[in-house]
Parts: sequence; structure tokens; C-alpha cells
Amino acid sequence: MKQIININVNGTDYEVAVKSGTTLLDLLREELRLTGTKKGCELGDCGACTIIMNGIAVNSCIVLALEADGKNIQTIEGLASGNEMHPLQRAFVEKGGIQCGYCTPGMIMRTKAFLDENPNPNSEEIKQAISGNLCRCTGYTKIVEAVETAVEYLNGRTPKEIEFAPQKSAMNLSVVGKRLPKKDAPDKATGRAIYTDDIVLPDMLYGKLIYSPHAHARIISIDTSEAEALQGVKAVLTGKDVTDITWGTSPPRYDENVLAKNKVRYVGDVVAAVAAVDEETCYKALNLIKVKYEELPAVFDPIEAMKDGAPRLFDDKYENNINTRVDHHFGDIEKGFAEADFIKEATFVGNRVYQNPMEPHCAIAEWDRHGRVTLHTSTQVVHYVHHQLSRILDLPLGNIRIIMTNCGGGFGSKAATNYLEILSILLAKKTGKPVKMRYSREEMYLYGRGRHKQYITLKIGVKKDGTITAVQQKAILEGGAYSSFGIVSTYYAGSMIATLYKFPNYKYDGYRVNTNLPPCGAMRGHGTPFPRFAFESLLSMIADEIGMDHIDIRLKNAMTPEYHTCNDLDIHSCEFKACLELVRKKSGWDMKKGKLPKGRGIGIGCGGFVSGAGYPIYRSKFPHSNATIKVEEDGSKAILFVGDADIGQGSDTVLAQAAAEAMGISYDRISVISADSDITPLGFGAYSSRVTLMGGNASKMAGEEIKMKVFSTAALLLNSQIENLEAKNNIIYIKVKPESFIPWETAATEYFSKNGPLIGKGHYSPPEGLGGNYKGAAVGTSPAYSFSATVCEVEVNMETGKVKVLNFWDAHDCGTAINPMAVEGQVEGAIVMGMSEVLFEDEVFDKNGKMLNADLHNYIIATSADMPEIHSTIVDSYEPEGPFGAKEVGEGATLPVFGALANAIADAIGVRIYNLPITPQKILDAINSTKLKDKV
Amino acid sequence: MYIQDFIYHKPDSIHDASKILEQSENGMPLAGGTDLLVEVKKGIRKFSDLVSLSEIPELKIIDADTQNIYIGAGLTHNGLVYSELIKNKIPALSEAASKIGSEQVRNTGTVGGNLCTGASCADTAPILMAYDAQVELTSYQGKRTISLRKFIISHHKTDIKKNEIMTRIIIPKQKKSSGASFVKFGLREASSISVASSAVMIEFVSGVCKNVSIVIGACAPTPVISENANNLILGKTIDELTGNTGLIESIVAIASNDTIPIDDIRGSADYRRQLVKVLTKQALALAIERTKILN
Repeated sequence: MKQIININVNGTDYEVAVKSGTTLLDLLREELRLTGTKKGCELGDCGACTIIMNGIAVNSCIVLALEADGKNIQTIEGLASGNEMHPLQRAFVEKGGIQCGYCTPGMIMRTKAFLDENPNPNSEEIKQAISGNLCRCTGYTKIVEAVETAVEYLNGRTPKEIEFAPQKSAMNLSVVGKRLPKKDAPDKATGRAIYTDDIVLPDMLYGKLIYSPHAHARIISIDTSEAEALQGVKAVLTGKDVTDITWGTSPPRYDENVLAKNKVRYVGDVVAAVAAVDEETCYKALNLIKVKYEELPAVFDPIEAMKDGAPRLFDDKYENNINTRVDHHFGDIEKGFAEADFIKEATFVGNRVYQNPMEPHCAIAEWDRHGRVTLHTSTQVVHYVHHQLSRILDLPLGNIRIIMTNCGGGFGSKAATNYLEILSILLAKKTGKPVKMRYSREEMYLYGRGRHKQYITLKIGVKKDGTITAVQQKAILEGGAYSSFGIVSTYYAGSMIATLYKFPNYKYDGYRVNTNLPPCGAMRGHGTPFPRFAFESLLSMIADEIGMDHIDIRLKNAMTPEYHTCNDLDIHSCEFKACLELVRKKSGWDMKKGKLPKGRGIGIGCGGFVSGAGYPIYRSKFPHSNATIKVEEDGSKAILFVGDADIGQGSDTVLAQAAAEAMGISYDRISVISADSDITPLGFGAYSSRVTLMGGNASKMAGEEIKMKVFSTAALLLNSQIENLEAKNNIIYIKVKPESFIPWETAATEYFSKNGPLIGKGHYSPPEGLGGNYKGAAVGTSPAYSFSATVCEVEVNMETGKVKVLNFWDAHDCGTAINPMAVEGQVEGAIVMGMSEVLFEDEVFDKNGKMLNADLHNYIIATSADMPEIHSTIVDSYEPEGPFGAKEVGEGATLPVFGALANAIADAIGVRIYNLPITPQKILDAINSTKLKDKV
Repeated sequence: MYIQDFIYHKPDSIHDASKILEQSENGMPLAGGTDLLVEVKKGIRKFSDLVSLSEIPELKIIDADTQNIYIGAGLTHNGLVYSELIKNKIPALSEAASKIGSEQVRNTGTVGGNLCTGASCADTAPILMAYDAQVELTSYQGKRTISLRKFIISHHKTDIKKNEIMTRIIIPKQKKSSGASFVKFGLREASSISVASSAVMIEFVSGVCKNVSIVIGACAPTPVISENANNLILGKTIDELTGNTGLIESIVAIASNDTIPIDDIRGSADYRRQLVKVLTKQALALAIERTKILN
């Protein structure tokens, strides 16, 4: 039964009928259609739904609408006056405080309430004030800067300009290399940006899934009759109603069913789907579906799972549950260790962590009357979803349209097709109506695809002078129930070890093992962060034992340009040594290392990553990234169409900069439409840190084609030749006689008048033949590699074991930074996420395989109050294969963090912890164990 | 996630609220809702009737007389954090409230709600128990006042009756030369749940401890009053309690020994016992320091 309430929202009075259980958040979003306020966790843990009620900031997800009766509510939509942004919004846009934008409305509203009370806060007060608003992208650094800037604006002062020296490779460029605000930032700051869950189609139904409560069981029977009889239920699907085609991420391992057939393999395996008039009816229907199971023995530990006689997840494949086995040997490992003066081996364990993008997955499917389906989805990879759905539905690509709306973060969790995408389409087909499906935060953890837990035994041999002679690694990846990206993760765990330091002899044994837990997949740094953590830790341990400085041993072995690694990867540009020297200087390493008091420590870690995978996930000869540009007939604006996805990292902006530079127009004259399979040309999407280099090259090429076309008319107008012309800042001029020029738009208009549409196209494929000829040689190949070094300084409370991370000094070789502000944003975000993974994060399961912390209350991630000071630097570098010399930063920035932090903690407490996360309890146990040893 | 339909009531008096609760099949008072709505969304709690306490003004009053300070149970945590009276007279309570959840949660969650939820990790309970606070429980039939120490029975179990509403928390005014403190340990710097906490109230007369209460949070089904530690402190001088004689180590070891912690995702029982020692040492030192300020 509904009750009437009266509330004032953003100055407008509403008289509205609500159900008793409706939250204020749902009232705003679903009834008043004010979708700027976001739903992140629904349990008051993330702050994305923060609004201001009678002057104070509250989480609207845990306030009943009925309790808001008579109250004044302010939401993000009410902050701007007309088209004029509030100073807070302006500051967030200008300072790069917005990436995926999903936390932004809540963050801004919280800040608004805070500044109303405290108009002149210091940065510590700001960090405390916004600590109830979780952000997974920015590392909070630029958000705090944005709030400080807003304080200046609100007090009528002009904020200090950031001192910024452009890189050498960007000196003569006018759009590339500039700290420009993101194209999508104003929409995200004002709550106008539309995410999938913000869309409501007419006559739309909602879908929900029923999950296995058992870790391993046979399905005996499913009775859906009561659910189907429930009023409001429009369709129920179980395993028998869906195709037998299995799906997944890597073609050799398509092992997931659309809905479970006969068997479930983890708590959370998808058993049935329901569509109904609303979510509440779906939930009621789910409770009426009766599934009879016969429980089977389950296995959760990969070491146990590999043993003979362990329960098998798949009867017909993956013997001993070994889902992927890699056996690589490069050079001669025995010879290498024989040449070593010192050999050390240790075992490290990575933790099971989840990406936790702030936006939960959501998909909406709608069929038209011509057998064509449109899917709105929050994805990183429009094309792979497109491809996979074409397989599963047995439809040509042309009958499926995939549209990525704004994507509220991914980090790998949205880098493949998911159940919502498939089942919303099937439910929509069965009911003839649009169907929306979204995950709750708990369901996100159950769907999983986070970082594999890894057990890594690493052995390194060095000569007296620190030269590495041999490396041997055995990695066991705990994969969960299905393959997902796991085959690739297992190869990456081995291949990427060879890109940072030179060594001729390397052996890698990789095992990915299925367990009855949520499937693991690709998370930022894909497969590589734990091996890199192990390597950076062991290298520092070796340095200590042979009496060498930690940075010196790295410099001794550091990668240099134009090097062919032992596993056949080709390194081109490489400024790794410059990164090491820079962080040594900036951190005051030589003054601090070995000289800090007990409880204080400093450590170094390094990393690097591919700038896009050299080969696609499934075999195809399509160019990896493609772009078209359409210029308006009056030449006033160019529109860039790209298939690659901006998931918050800022790729739309970066690609626009590359295209604008290539065309010779200014940044304000280009806009971007991305990630819509009907409109934009194929792009493989946002994974493997590929978009800047590959999408950038495609966009640049399209821009250059446009430039040549306008030059063809400009040459006539200027009485010159095409090859004599140059274009910059919307002017086309004769190179040797710059005073002879015409406006860019004049030439463009002239071109259109004569030739029709002014269109440019570009495409990019990695160089042919990358990598070696051995099995799995493709994984790790890339047109270019990034490099980074990070020094971390910590303070450890020796009584409680708690770590306070004080500083990170980071230097990154990303080639030319197309947008330095966006690069800094990636580095800061990666540092705080990596720090959070090292110190806090871990998925915990009970003895029956049920996850115990599938929320943001018990699975804790770093808040703004935990953030360290981050000093990031971009070194001078130029990558010939990249657009304007650019390469990646998004994942490479994660890699050095683990080792640097672990080394700093070891330095502070005098003992090393090998198992992540490094919790206070583990630290205290370690400290106590050394005290015990001292006594003995 | 959804909240199942219920009958919503918004009475403007305790009397009416109590009557509705008594007459309802399975009624529940709603204060800030920061625990209750989460639990109902997770399916842990169900109710037929929800009785909103938001329109009952007397629940939000802070008052004092010569003997006591009276805190309306409906005050939010931030209501305590920003109250000048509480900041000045019982700063340790203000501090404890400031460490609960996020700013948004502190703006909504109430002290009465925190106590009635009765979670073992609640942050207002240890310090209020250290102050030996009383809670006033009111029904349409009348009022009763009981010690908070007796009110909390076990984890999520309290001595509240179906028709009762917690109306006030009554805190005896601190004696001259007394001091109190609250220290908690969470895994991150904000929005963290106590892995362990320690609250201390101590009173000296002529430099000798006449009254002390050490209460440990999150290390047993309820906050634990460490009588053994209290007994060891009683009669000791400020100098003894701040000196380097090993006495403090004995006190905190005994306090730690009085707890019965469990292993959970936030920490092992053994780690909690170690934390209790560290936190109690800090809390005791801080409380003693504050007695000097009040002198």
C-alpha cells in the first residue's frame, strides 16, 4: 500500500505516493527520475548515494522515503544553476577529480555539506570529510585537490596554477601533451551522465538470477511452477530452456553454461533466471523456485585440488582440476644457476581480491520486430560482448547492437561477457519486452572475475656484482570454478617477468587450478602483479644478502631500449633506468635507506606492462582499433567515432586529443562517440592497457586523412602545394610563410562543397609476427612496453602492526603522455588500489565455500583517510610505435606498488611477510616471532 | 535488494509509539536505520510494523542537572560529536561517536540505536559502561532506569521489552579529578569497525585512585568490564600508574585476560588479546592525563 509524502527536492515540491519499503534513493531515482544520485552498494557503505537532507549529508540508500516526508533534499541535479556549474563541480572537472564518475555525485554532495559547515578546511580535514565516499579510480588525490580548488573559488580567490613542464616529445604539439579536462567530466559532475541503470525503457521488465547455495552439487530437479504462477512474473528460464553452446572468454576454454545444466560448481553458480514487472516480484519468484540438489564433495584449495582423488569440477576435462598448464624454458636454467654466485628461493602468496568498480554491472536488452536485439551494458569490451553473443545466440553481428553507456569503472571486472548480458537478451526474447538486469554488490562478488590467488615459488641466481643469471618461477593460480580469462592470466604470470630486467635463462611452470569458488579473471595488471611482487621482494632480499643497494641491483639488470628478451618479446623504447634514478633522487633514497628508525621503512618496487596485447582474444584478422571522423559541413566540429571504451580512464579524451592534433584543430572542436557497435567501427575495447596506443594510432590516422583532404582544398585556396602546408590551432598555413593562412573551417567547408562528406578513417594492427614460436608465445607480446619505478615510505606501529603509508614517489615511462593529468590520475589510482590490495583486501570464504565478506562493509578498500602523499613524475620518453610517441599507463602503474610497499614494510619491521594481504595481525605475529628468536 | 512492505507509523509521543509496538504482531522501532535497514535488506530481520521515532522531540534533547547528563536516545552520533556540552563534559563519548562509521552514518545513526542493536563491536557502549551510564526505557505504562551494564545481555541481545523505547542515557557527572578516554583499533583510518576497543574512566582522590572502570569492546559478546584490572588499579597513586614499574603491563595483561574474543575476518582472538593490552595502556594513560586537566 502506498502512502503520500511531501518533499522538496532541489527547490521543487513533490507530492508523491511511495511504498513503505521504498528508500529515499529509489524514490529519487525510480519515481522522480533524478538518476544523478548513484546506487553503489545499497547498504550505506560506499557513499555513492549521498544527498543532502535538511542540510546534512546522508546515504539515501538507508533512509526510508517515508522518513523524508516534509524534508528538504538537495541532489547533484540541484547544484548547478542552469548551465553554470557550481564552483565545486567546476573544480572537480578542471582538476581531474573525475574518472568513471560513478562516485562523483555523492562525493560532490558530501563535499558541499562539508564546505557549508567548514568553508576553510585543511587537506587533512578534507580527507577525513570525504572518507565515507569510496572511489576506486582516482586514489582520491585529485579529488582532494579539487576540493582545495573549490575552496579557493568559493572564497573568491584564484587557485594556484599547477607548475607543469611539458615532456620534450610534446614541446611542439598543441593539443597532445596538455593537461586538459576530460570530455565527459562536466556531465559526470552534474549528474547528467547516463549509466545503464539510469535508463528506463517503456514497458520494461526486470530480471533476477537464482544462484546455487552449494559449492558443488548435482541438480536433481527444478520446479518453477509456483514461481511462474506468481502474479507479475513474465518468464522463468532454467538450464533446459537455454542453448547447449558453452561460452567464456578464451576460445580453448569455453566452459560456462548460460544456466547450469545438471551441475553447479560454486556458491553463486547461476541456476535460473526470472523476469517480472519489478525486482521485488523477481525476488519473491526466486524464493518459489524449488531446486533439489545432491551435494558433492567440494575443494577450495588449489594445492588440494591438484591431488589425485580430489573432487573434480569437470568430469570430461581438466585432469586433476588443472585447467591450464604452462611449461616454458628459455635459455638454459641449469647453466644459469651454475654461473650464479648466490641463489635464493622463496614462496610468496597473493590474495584473492576483487576489482570493485563503484558501478555494479547492469544490462538492458530490447528486441525489435525484425529479429534484431539492442543491448545497453556497462562493459569494457563492446566487441567481445558482440562476438560472444553472436556465438551464443547464433546470430550474425549485424543482428545485435551493443551500446556501452557510461561505464562506472571496470579494472577487468567488465572485460568479458557476463550473465546479465546473455540472460537479459533471452528473457527479453521470451517476454517480448525490454528487460533490465543489474547486480547487487554481493552478486558482483559472486560473479567474480577478480584477481587469481597465486602461490609463487621464485628462485633467482645472481653473480657477485648483482647480475641476474637465471630465474625460475612456479606459479599456481587458484582459478575458481570456470576459466574466464584464466588461461591468459597463467601465461601472463610467466611472460611479463622477463620485460623489466635482462636475464638469459628462465624457466616458468604455471598451473591454473579449478576450485569450487567464484571464477577468477583479469584484474588490473592481469596475472602479473603477484609474480612481480614476488620478484621485487626477492630481488631486494638478494641485494641485502650480497650487500648491494636495492636500486643499484635494479640498475645493474635494468632493461634498455631495443632488447629482445629471453622469451622472445621485443622491447623498443625504454627509460627504465631514468625512472629508477628519478625516484632515487626524489625520495631521498640515499639519505633514508638503512638510516630510518625502527618502525619506519622505505622500499622500492618496479613494474611495467604491455601497451595492448599483440594478439586478439579470439583469432581474427581485424585491425584491433579503428576510427572514423566526420567533420560538420561548416568545418566547425569534428566528431570522432571509436569502438574502444572509455570506462573512466579517459580514453575518449585522449583519443580526441590525438585526432585533433593530427587534424590541426583545437580540443574544443572535437567531440567523441564511442563504444556503440552500430555507430562506431570495431575496437577491441579497454583491456590490456591497449587504448592509448592502438585507439590512439587509429584516431591519429583518421585525423591525418582528414588533414590531407582539407589540405587538398587549402592548397588551391592558398595557391600552394599540399606538401607545403601545415595545420595547427584551426589554421592552415604555408610552412615557410606562416602569414599565408586560411581558417581550417574554410578549407573544410570548401572540401565538403566540392566532394561531399568530409570523412576520415584510421585503423591499427600491431606489427605482424610479434613473439616467438612456442606455445603461448602470443601472451606478453605488444607493440610497446611501459616501465615504472616506485619508492614507498611507511611507518609501522610496532605494537599493533598497523601500517601508515606516508609517501609514494613514482616515475613512469609511458612514452609521450597524451594527457599528463590523466596519466597522473591513473598512477594515483593505481597506487591507492594497489596499496589497498596489499594492506586490506581479501575474499574470505567459510568451510562450505560461501563468501563471508561479499559487501563493502567487511571487504574493506582504502578510503581517502588512508591515502598517502603521492608524488608522480612522467619521464621523457618516445615510443616510435605509439601515437605521438605514447604508450600505456593504466595497468603498468599498478605493478610496482606491491613490491615497493612490501619492501618498505620489511625495511620498517626487520622481517618479511610473504603472504598478502599484509595485515596488522601478520605484521605483529612476524615482529613477535623475531622477538622470540632473539630470546632463544 | 528490496524492503518488504510493512505498516509504517510515525507517532509523535513515546506513549503512542509504545502502544503501537505492543499491539503490533512484530513491531520494530526505527531510529536512524543505519543498522536496521541494512539488516532488513540483507534479509536478517523482518517486521510487520515499523514505528518511526523521528517525530518524537524529547528523544533529541541533551540536558544536565547537578547530578547527571541526560542524552536523548534519538540523538545522532554527530549530535554527540558536535554538542558543546558533551565535548566539554564527557569528551570521551564525543570521541567514541566520532569514530563510528562514516560522516553520513554518523549523521543518521543514533546513540540509542547503537545501544539497542547491541552489537559487540558497538563504539558507544564501552565508554558509556565505563561512565556507568543508566538507560531509561519508557513504555506507555511508565519508565524504568537500569544500568547499561545490565541492559546489554549478549551480542544483539538487550533487556528491552516489546513495548519499550530507549528514551535517555543518563551519565553521572564526572567527579573532579576524574578522567575518561576511548581508544579503538580499526583496520583502516575511517569507516572502520572496531577490531578491539578500550574505554577507561578513572577517578583520583588526593592522588589515589578511588574509582576506576576499564571496559573492553569487540572482544566478547558484550563489552567486558575488567574487574580484575579495576581491582589492581584501585588504591594506586597517579605516580604508580604512570611510572615505569611494570604495573601498567600487569594491568593490561589482566584486562586482556578478562576478555573472551573470537576469531573472525577482522582478526584472531589472539591478536585481539594483544590489541587489548596496547589499547588499554593508551586509554589508561589518556584518562589519567585528563584527570590532571580537570584538576
